[in-house]
Amino acid sequence: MAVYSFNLNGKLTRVEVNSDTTLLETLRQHLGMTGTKEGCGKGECGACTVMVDGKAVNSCLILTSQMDGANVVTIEGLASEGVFDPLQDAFMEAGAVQCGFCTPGMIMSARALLLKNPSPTDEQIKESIAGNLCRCTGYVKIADAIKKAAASAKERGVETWKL
Amino acid sequence: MEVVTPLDLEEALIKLQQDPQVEVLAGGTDLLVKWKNNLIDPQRAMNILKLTELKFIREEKGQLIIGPLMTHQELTEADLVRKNAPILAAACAQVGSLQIRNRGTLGGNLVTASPAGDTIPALVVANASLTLRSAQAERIVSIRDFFKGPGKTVLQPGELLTAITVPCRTSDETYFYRKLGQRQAMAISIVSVACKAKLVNQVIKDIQIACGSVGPTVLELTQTARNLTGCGLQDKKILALAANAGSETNPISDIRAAKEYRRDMVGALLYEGLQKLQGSQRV
Repeated sequence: MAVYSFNLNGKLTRVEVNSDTTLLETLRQHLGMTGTKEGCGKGECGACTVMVDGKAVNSCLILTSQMDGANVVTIEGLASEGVFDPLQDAFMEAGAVQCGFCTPGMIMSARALLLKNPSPTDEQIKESIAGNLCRCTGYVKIADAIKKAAASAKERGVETWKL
Repeated sequence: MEVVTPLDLEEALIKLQQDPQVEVLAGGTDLLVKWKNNLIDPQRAMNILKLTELKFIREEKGQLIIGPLMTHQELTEADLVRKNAPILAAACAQVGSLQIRNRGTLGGNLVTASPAGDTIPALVVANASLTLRSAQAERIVSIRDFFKGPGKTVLQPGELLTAITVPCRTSDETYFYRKLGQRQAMAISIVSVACKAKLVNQVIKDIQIACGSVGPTVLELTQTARNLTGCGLQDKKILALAANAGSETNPISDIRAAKEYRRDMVGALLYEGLQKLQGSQRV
């Protein structure tokens, strides 16, 4: 066991875990942050997607010991003081959620896209969530929600999304 | 599995010398999957992500030199790569999903030595060479001599891949990279074909073709390349030459595809790619 520290949702976080503990296990089992889901556990389904240094990654394929000093954002880091992130609002408005299991990962992938590219094309939206499987929705409403979030941010004069 | 994290290259090379059995861990998109699938059970792993000396791209004397810790996504997006080694940028864009490309490294893709490694055929036709370093010595091997079989390379105990060198594309070279998988993302290739050619007035003057997933390691279609040399891109015999290209390969049947299908698809991807080269020639 060793202590690893990283920035989690804006807060410096220290955890004592084994050097082969995945980031996903650390989040869910050691920090009680169960918003990030475990689907396949092997990088195929994207349910465990979080942002590390602004990029979408599979937290099941990262060791916490590789995270020392990194900036990690999970689904819990999006809403602040009871106000949802515009992307979360857009997912609800578009009805982009059915069973909900893929949703945190989908939103984190979409969030990383909008961070980098606030006006994505349909193709770029599809590419950004190509590593996230959804067995319910058929993806159409998910893509609509991401488009909606981008458009509403633009309407409100938001030019860049914040981490 | 006990994971150690050296802070610089020298420390890593010494650790590797002292403990040659340690598994080298970079992006983890392959190693950790094998570990979770119980295909490997290493006692120790060395996380090399802190070795900033291995994360760079620079252009030097007509060559692009790439640090093995560059991720596939970084290479897809890097202007230096898009300009000087566009076939590598194209191959990197085909790897896994964005999440995988954001973590998986070029060095990892090479050292893993999968017959289906997406970047390997591209680097073969681009004539890449690899720098292998140990605590004592450094050597450079051609990528053509690096792979010994599925998962096997000439990397010796104590050696680490420290650079990938690719000659910069010249203005008379054109290329294509095509991958066939079950879907566009997250698919292990059924067949991949990388091709670099020099054309003069739409006639093939020089051509290299390498294929993935059709043999124990990357395969070069040298006979097909010889036959295609001198052909015009509109030449009707290109179709027959491409259709026969699969006979140079040695695929197996597995869960992804039958060997007959793979052979046929080598020809199909090659023909499609050659057709697309028309009009792509720089003036």
